[in-house]
Parts: sequence; C-alpha cells; structure tokens
Amino acid sequence: MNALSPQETEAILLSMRVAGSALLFSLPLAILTAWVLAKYEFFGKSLVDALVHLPLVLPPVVVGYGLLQFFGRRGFTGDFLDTYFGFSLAFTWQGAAIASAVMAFPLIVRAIRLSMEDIDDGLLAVARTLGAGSVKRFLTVVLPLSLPGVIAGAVLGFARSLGEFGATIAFVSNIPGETQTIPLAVYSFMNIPGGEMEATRLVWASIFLSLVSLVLSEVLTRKARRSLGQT
Amino acid sequence: MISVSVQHTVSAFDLAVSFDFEHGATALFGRSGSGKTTLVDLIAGLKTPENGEINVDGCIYFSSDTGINLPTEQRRVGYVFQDSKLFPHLTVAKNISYGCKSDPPDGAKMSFSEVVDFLDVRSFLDRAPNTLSGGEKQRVAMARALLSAPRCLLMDEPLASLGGGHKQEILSLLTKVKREIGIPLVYVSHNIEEILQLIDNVVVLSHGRVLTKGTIEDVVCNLDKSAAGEAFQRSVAWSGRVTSHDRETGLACLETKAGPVLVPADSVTEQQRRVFIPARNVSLSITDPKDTSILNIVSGPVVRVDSTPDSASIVEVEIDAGLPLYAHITRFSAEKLGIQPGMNIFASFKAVTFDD
Repeated sequence: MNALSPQETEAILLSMRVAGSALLFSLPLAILTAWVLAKYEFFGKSLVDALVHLPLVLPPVVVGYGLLQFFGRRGFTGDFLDTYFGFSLAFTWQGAAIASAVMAFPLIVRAIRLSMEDIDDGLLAVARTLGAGSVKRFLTVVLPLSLPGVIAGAVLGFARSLGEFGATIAFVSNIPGETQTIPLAVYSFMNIPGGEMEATRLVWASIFLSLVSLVLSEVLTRKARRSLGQT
Repeated sequence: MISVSVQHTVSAFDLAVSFDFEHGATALFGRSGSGKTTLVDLIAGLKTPENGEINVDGCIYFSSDTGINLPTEQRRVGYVFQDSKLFPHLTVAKNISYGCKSDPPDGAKMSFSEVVDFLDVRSFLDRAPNTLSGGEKQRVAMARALLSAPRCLLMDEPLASLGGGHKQEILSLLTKVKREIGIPLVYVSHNIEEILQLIDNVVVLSHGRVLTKGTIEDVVCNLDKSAAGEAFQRSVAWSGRVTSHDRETGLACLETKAGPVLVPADSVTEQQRRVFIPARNVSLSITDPKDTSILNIVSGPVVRVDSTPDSASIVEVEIDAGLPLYAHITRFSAEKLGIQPGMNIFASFKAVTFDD
C-alpha cells in the first residue's frame, strides 16, 4: 500500500482530534446524566430520557440541520457567540466535535447508566451512615463501581464519533483540513474519478482505528472489573 | 438514651411506634413485614417519618414539631446490615477507615488501631472484601461502623447470614462492644433466644404496631398468649447474680428470686447473668424428684392450667416459683398427676444460657 497522501493523513488526524474533543466534552455530562437517570425519580423524567435518546433515532442530517439552526451565525446562540466572543462553530472542526458529541451522547449515557443501575443502593446507604455527602458518595462509590461502564461508554462514543457523517456534513460541511473527517473524506474520494485507492486506504485506516479502540476497551474493562472483584 | 416516637405510612403499610429506653441494647423483634427494618431506617434517616420525634442521647434526629430532620450523613449512626455491605472496590483497611473523620468529633473514643484489634481484623487488612468469610465480613462491617464515631449502633439481623460458630463469635464481640462503648444499640431480630444475653430491652412489633415493650425480663414473662404466638415460644427469662463458678464441673450458680439456678458456663466474666427457660424444657412432678439428672428444681403453687393454642394435646401450666415459670406438658400427664391450680408442684428444667 502506498504512503498516505497529505489529505488522507489530515483526515485521519482530524478524525482523532474531533472524536477526542467530542469525548472530552460529552463524557462528564454523560456520566452525570446517566447517574440522574439511573437513580433519581423526578417529574418529567421520561421526557428527559426521550430527549437524551433522540439523536439515536433521528436521521443524523436532521440533528446537523438543527445544530446549524441553533449555532449558525443566524441562529440565536450562534449570533450571541459571534457578536460577543467573535467565535463561530459553523464550518469549524470544533463544530464537527459538537456534532459528534451530540450523536454519541445517547450511546455513552446508555452504557454508563446500565452499570450504575447495578450499584447496590445499600452501599450508598452505608456511605451515608458513615457521613459521606452526595459528592463524596459519587466520587468514592458511584464512579469507581461504574468504571467498567464508563470505559465501555467512552470507547463506544469515541468509535461512534469516528464514524459520524450525516450531522457533521449538514452542520459544518465538508472542508478538507477543517471539517473533513475520515467518513467525509471517503465520501469525497468516492465522488472523484480514480479516487478508489484513497478511499480504500481510508477505509482500512478506519477499521484499524475502530479495532484498536475496541480491544483497548476490552482490556481496560477487564482490568476495572478485576479491581472491583467481579471476575 | 434512645427515644423514638414515629408515624410512617407507605402505601398500605402503616407504622406507628413509640418506645424509649434509658440504657443498653434494644431488640426490635417481630416477624418479617412487622416493620422492624423500616423502623431502623427511620432512625438512620434513610426513610423519613410523617410525624414524631427521634432522639438519641439528646441529639434530635427528627422532630416534626420543630421541623428538624437531620440528614443521615450527619446523624452518625453505625449501621450494620444483614449482608455487611462492604465496598467491593476497597480493601478491608480502606473500608474500615471510610467513615473516619480527620478531626474526630466528641465521643470518638477509638482509634483505627484500637478498632482493628478490638474486632480482630488485623490479619486481613489488605484483602479484598470478596475473599472474606461471612463472619469476617461482619467483623469488618462492625469495625467500619465503630470507627465512624457513632452516636448509636443499628444492627439489622447481622447474624442472619452466618453459621452457628460465627454467630457466637459475633455475639460475643457485640456484647463486648456494648459494654465498652456504652452507646445505645438497636438490634433487629426475629430470633430472640439468639440474642438474649446481649439485649436489655425488647420492643415486639406486629403489623407496624408495638405489641409489647419493656425490659427483657418483663417482656418475656408477661407476654400474653397471642403475643407469645407472634413472638416466641412461651418462655421466661430470669436474671441472677453469679455466686459461684466451678471450673471443674463447668457450672455457674446464679442466685435468682426463685432460688439458685445452675447453668453451664465455661467462663464467667460478668456478675449478672440471664437464663432463659423455654416452657418445653420444664417438666413437673408432685413429689420432690431427688434422683434425677436434671440440675435445677424449684417448687411453688400452680397458678393456672390452660390449653395451648398450638396443640390440643399440650397444656400450659403456670407456676409461681418466686418468679413466674411456665411448663408445657401433655394433657395426658396433667390428668395423670391431677394438676390443679393451688396445688404445690416441683418443676425441673434445663436452663439455656449464653456464654461470652
């Protein structure tokens, strides 16, 4: 196989950066959301649950269009950011990261929520009787015990971000070097006569990245389970 | 001192309970579904009652009158659950020190090292909880509760998942804890014989109501029939002062109001001991049975003869031997001996006791 062209290298590095940023952005929020959905009952919980899962069932292009309406220069938030901070998300790699984060969010929440639902309420009750407030309980009991789920969710979210296409192209378009991630580059090369070679190389790169993250997740999850005495 | 007076309703279940005791260990006793665990959860603050007041040694945990509802994390209750609830991701040492404050509040009497030695857990401090036996887990759970400088100890059937040997071991430790720490202890149980030596007060619950309450001696002796059926087999508990202990024979002699009672004891560490005499362990005779293997014989007038609710062929005889005593004998024997109220009778029994 020939060496990668600059455009391909750029697409791969950009994909990593976008997926990584998306994860950094969505993981803390997903952990909190998962915790609230797993252990709290409140008015409107099914609505929140539905909203969190919406990106999973909506056509990605609809999400992208929604983001464009919201964050675009003519959208309310986009206008605000542009006027006061001189900052725009539309057509930037940060925008691509936001699109990926939104699309991956429900998957991350689901994985973490499952492991949090398994946490014995009795352990949290014991922690309370031992004087632990909600923050200490969360940091010393909830988080360590749901670590396998957090790792699984993070990897799933990262892999999902690597594959994000519809929302990204609708929100930030397909600009080489700025928003052209691997799937978008593959799409572009497919539309260029004689671009099959490049497309194929990117497909292999994509498979490789996904496999590495899945294996990594398996190893980390097993390690975390062992430390919890679950195996 | 522990004083509880609460009213709590959850869907169809209605709990309305009040008791207060100045000293010692209190057993909450009753069948499953009687509200024992709910009551302990209310004391711990894991559930909130609608009305009432909970006061432990002058600290108001809850009061609907003044609107006080101290959160669980500020109540400082040492809660030991039936199945230990050790944190699986922490070592034994980290489990024990989880509730340890950097600046111990007033009343924090024991250091980590003292607690560890007290409950004899030093040999497995570095191990993970899932490698421990049931008895070891409960010892760790007790150590963890003690090190959090609790105002009171709450025990929800801590022996339920243990085998016989471990039960005795944990009970001895609990008795030691009660003696040395001197904080109120609330103990949930459905088997009162098991914890007789530990507890001082009993609250018998049934369907969310107090059936009877008081000191263990009063409650055991004064249960009416329905309560006895609900609570335990008809029995009495006598307490007495240890007057002698013969290592050779392994017997200790207690001076009770009904006279001396011999109980098996390997070692006697306390001056006061309690014996428990189930009615099925008492046999009767008209004349003084001299040549018998039974050690304890008391005599007194028959107070009454009654049928028992459980069986038509068994009758219950109440004897006033200085202290009340009940015997369950067959109707056939009662008729053969011609047992009538007022007649003097000799009762021989095996006393059950509990070693420390």
